[in-house]
Amino acid sequence: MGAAAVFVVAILAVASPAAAAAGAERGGLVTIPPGLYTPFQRVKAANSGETEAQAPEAIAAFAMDRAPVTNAEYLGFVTAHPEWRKSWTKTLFADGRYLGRWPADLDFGHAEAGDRPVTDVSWFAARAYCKTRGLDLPTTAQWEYALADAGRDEARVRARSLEWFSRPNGAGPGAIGGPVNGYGVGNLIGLVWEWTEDFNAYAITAESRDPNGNDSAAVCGGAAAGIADASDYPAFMRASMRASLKANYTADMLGFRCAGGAP
Amino acid sequence: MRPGSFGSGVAVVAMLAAGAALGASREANRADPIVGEETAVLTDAPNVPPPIHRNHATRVVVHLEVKEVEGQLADGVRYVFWTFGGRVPGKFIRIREGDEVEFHLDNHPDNKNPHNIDLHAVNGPGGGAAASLTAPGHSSVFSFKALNPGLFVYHCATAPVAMHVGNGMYGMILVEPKEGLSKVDHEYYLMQSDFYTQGKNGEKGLQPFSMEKVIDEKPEYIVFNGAVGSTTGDKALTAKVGDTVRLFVGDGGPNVVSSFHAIGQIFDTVYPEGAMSAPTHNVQTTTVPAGGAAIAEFRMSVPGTFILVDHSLERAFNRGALAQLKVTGPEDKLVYSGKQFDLVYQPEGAGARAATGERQVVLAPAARSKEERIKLGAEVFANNCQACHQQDGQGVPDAFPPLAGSDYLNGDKIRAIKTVTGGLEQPLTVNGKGFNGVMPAWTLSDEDIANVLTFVYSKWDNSGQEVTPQEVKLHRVTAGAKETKE
Repeated sequence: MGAAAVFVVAILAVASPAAAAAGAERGGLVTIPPGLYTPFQRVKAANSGETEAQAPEAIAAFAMDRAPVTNAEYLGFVTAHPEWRKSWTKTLFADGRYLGRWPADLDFGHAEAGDRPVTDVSWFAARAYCKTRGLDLPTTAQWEYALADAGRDEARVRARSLEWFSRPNGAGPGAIGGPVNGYGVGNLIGLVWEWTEDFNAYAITAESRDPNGNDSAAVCGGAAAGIADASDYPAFMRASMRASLKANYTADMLGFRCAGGAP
Repeated sequence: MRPGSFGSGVAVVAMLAAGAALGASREANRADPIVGEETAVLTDAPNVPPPIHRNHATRVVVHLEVKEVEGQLADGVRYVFWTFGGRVPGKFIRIREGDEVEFHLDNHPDNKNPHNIDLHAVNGPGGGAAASLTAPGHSSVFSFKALNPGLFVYHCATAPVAMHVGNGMYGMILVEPKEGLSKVDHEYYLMQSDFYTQGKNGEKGLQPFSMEKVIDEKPEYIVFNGAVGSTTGDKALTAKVGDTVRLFVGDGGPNVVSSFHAIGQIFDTVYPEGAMSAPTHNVQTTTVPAGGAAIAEFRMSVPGTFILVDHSLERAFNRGALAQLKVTGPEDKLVYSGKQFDLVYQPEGAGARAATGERQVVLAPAARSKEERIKLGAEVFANNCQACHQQDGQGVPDAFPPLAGSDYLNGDKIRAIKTVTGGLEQPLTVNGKGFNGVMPAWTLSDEDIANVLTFVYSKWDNSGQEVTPQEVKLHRVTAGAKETKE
């Protein structure tokens, strides 16, 4: 992939949100240009037992929601699909706290919650929502690639992530909107954690410090031999969060957005 | 006679009682049958759960709740702590060797982050961490049998570990040997740890965690029990003359090792690294590794305020690693005449401190009235002066001079400015009593020094006069901190 090509597409992507900002649309899909993504976790080399950086993964162009799915949008979904209303849903597909902030099946509470990301949704529910739009959840690679934003503003993004981890939960996430990154995607950090399609595939081992953990290479600890950048604390945090989840789990600060092939 | 040598006589007796290694073998503890079940009593520092009097192993159910909470790190300094049980350090857990522990790690639904727990008392992958990674709003359960007696640290081991530990996720678990520990009059829980704030030490407001500083191992605060002043003044530990005291001392890190010391009190017995097998005696300072512990036992021979410090002293007097043990009761002039004293060791001379060029940049709003000056000065006092001169301004006899009703202070305002800005390293007499300690030169701003002196003059029957920044500027001995804000 030539850097110049990425650059040109990025310029286009930057231009579009300004146009969108004038309208009412704060959600909607943004096209992300193709490029390379190097996963955060290293892998064990086949013969030596040493860890090595994974080969960069080629990411094809794809589309992604500009912002996490909101309560108002999710209300539309459960209205049309009664099987995903909170009183109908089986715990196999969503644990006992599913839509915990909603007072009733078709009521997300205060009006201002309409613009806030829907939380307390399971992976099954999030995925079902995206399917109704002909989309999927983003893969972890797609999500991380969108956040990496071709390296733009990396230090500030990390700092904002750390600040968010450290802020008490309080009343829950705020409304979507605000600045977008170079690709035109917003709210990747600072509002909620987000589900990914393969959240459990890159999973950091539950014992995060073991460099020889059976299913991966994600390690931590001081040496952090298994991590591409041991000082990228927010990447560790996202990996740990994904590793702590099961598909029927819900959490108060866990939402999602949808993605799909490029239009 | 040297201070503490009476205590060492007592230690001989203790040595006879505690000479043999305590505890049973791993095999015996593994095979020890479980009788009955109980729920663990958990306590916040400095308190310790009561001793165990059972003569059999049992099943102990522990419910430890992880909570992310905002609290105070120092006067005017707020911080979001990640805690085991709501406070830093985490709840103290007390079990007996051979016990089977059913451990519930509950991650509160209001939390934002996943957490787990590694108990150093566990034999098994991750010390429990591999079995306990828990999403917010969920709970993990695992069991272990306590095979080894001793005092152990526990901590969160979720990546990035240094961030979870740096935010306060550690505590201690005591696995009592079968024989139990000797009877003492007081048991206390004290845990040192280091904090990494974006603002410099003393900078007010809610301070975010600094990833850069934890990676560079450059803490802004090193404290006991989770905050500057957690265990001083009216929160000091207490005992009476003749009492025996047992301190369960831990170091949560994430980075800094402690040189744990009690000023003016020799430890009769220390269980180094919290191990029950080889107690040592007559110890002045014991190392407590990050992620490690020690047990210190001693008998109080004379009354007074005994200051517990990390004897890597910069940490004690400038970063917060200082606690107090207040002992009341009759004097024993044979043990301690009252004329001799424990000279506080200050590795940096007055000049050296001012010459380093490093400044504490304190956000110091300018006072608009004498009342404001007094109010702002109270915070400066709490952060800089109180550790030695005490909350009530009485100082510590023979070590730190009183400010309350001090003739030295009230007699000459300009001398006071010169003392604070230039330091003092020579004998002086205050209210008829001699002192020969070291006061460092404070590199505070003109505003801060004016405020703290005005505060001190306003308290404790002092003269009530005001000191202005202009006066400080005129009479100061060394350059002060810049007043610029970051």
